[in-house]
Amino acid sequence: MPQPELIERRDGTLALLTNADPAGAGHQALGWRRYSVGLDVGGRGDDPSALCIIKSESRPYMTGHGWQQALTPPQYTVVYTETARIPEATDLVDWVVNRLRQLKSWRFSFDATGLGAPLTSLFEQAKVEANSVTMTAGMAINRKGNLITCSKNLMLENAATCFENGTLQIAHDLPDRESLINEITAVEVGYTSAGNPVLKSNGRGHHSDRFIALSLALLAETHIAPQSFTTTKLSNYW
Amino acid sequence: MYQDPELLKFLGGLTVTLDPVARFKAAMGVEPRRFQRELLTSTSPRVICMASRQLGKSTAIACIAWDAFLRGLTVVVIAPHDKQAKEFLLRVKDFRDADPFAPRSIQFLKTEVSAANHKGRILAMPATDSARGFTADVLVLDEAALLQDDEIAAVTPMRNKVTGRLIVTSTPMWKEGDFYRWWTQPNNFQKILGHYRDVDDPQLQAAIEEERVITPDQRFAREYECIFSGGGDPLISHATLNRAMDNKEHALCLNLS
Repeated sequence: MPQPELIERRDGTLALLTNADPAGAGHQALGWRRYSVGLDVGGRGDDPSALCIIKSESRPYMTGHGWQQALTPPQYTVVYTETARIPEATDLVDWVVNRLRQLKSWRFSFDATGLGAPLTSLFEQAKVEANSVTMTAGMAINRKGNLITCSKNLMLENAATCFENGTLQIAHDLPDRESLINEITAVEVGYTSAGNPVLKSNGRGHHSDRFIALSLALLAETHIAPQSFTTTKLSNYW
Repeated sequence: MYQDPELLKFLGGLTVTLDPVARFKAAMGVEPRRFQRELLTSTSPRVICMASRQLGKSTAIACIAWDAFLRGLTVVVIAPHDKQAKEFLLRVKDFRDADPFAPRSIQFLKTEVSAANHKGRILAMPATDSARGFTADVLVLDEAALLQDDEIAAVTPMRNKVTGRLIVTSTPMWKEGDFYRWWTQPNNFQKILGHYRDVDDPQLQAAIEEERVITPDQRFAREYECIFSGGGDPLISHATLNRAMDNKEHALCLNLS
């Protein structure tokens, strides 16, 4: 069915243009179009830092039952990747801020494991709202405010699940997509001597930086992004 | 506007001599592909190029070799087998034929190109122990993924330590060996990727897509997708990733200044 025009608001929410028709009051469903940014912090040596931006979108649409509106399932698209060797933490913050300033509505998460730890306070000083994610072993995710500890396996498997079920896609004209795909396919499933599956990134010194950045950005959308709940009065039931 | 045909020929020849891209175009009759252009114009002392099969790696290298030869440099090309080395020199011949300023008394032997009263040389040889004792201004490792690490270790010292260039090209193979490490590890190589999907040639792309039907997944990934294959199963399969790229979503353009 033909859909009304979609309005993108300044806060990143998407609304259908209903021309303030009073008949539509109480039926509005707000979708979103926002960017989730993930940063894998590089080492002081040759290990580069990687940035990945995922566009997250859920559009409202008219269901065809009167004024009823509903949202499409969230769709995540990798729209930007970049790597850079930036040894100084302050330069890295500048690099990230320069990119964030160009986005309309964003969430930012970075790898706070090891060398990334000092960045938590640096981003705070720069007034950048950031999720600092410390990657751990196991299969758990815990959160205390913006400080998150998450299993690396969980992050990667979350990305695999979203790729498999089609909710995560890669923009067809992404300039660096072959490098990204090489890094994604470098992560292989192996087995311990006890027969337990383990994920390993193949090759000595191979970091899969872009894939980690992608997984961080995706995790922010699937597990960390605040969800909104609304309650309304139940009608037409006796 | 110059009308003198001799002068126009001279100026055309001068352009070809000074510009490797123009030289390529004159010899091949087509514009070089993006990765070929990057290879031709690179001045980096270490270059590594990974490209899909039949995209023109060796042709671009032949152009570079001919250019270096004319500048009086010694080019050593190491290929996995004797036949590949000889085939390489045939490509160099194409560039000689299209060059109006080529030295007259040029000698094309089976494994060597040289000219009387000219310092430049091109040597093409298989990677064996006999490939020692030369000093190369430009050392090329062609199909490096098929060379053994020991063979690479034997030939890389022949590169002139101060001014010499090392150019490595190949399609990917296994997740092991020097080529894999040089490509995947952070280092000072200039990395150039030539993927068949980035080539502005729909006919070629369609032909390669047809190959997909009859080629096993892992082999297709190696030969055309520029993906190294390892021993284990990837967490996310190539088929899933191909499906994930089949959309109309556009990448984001950010101002990087």
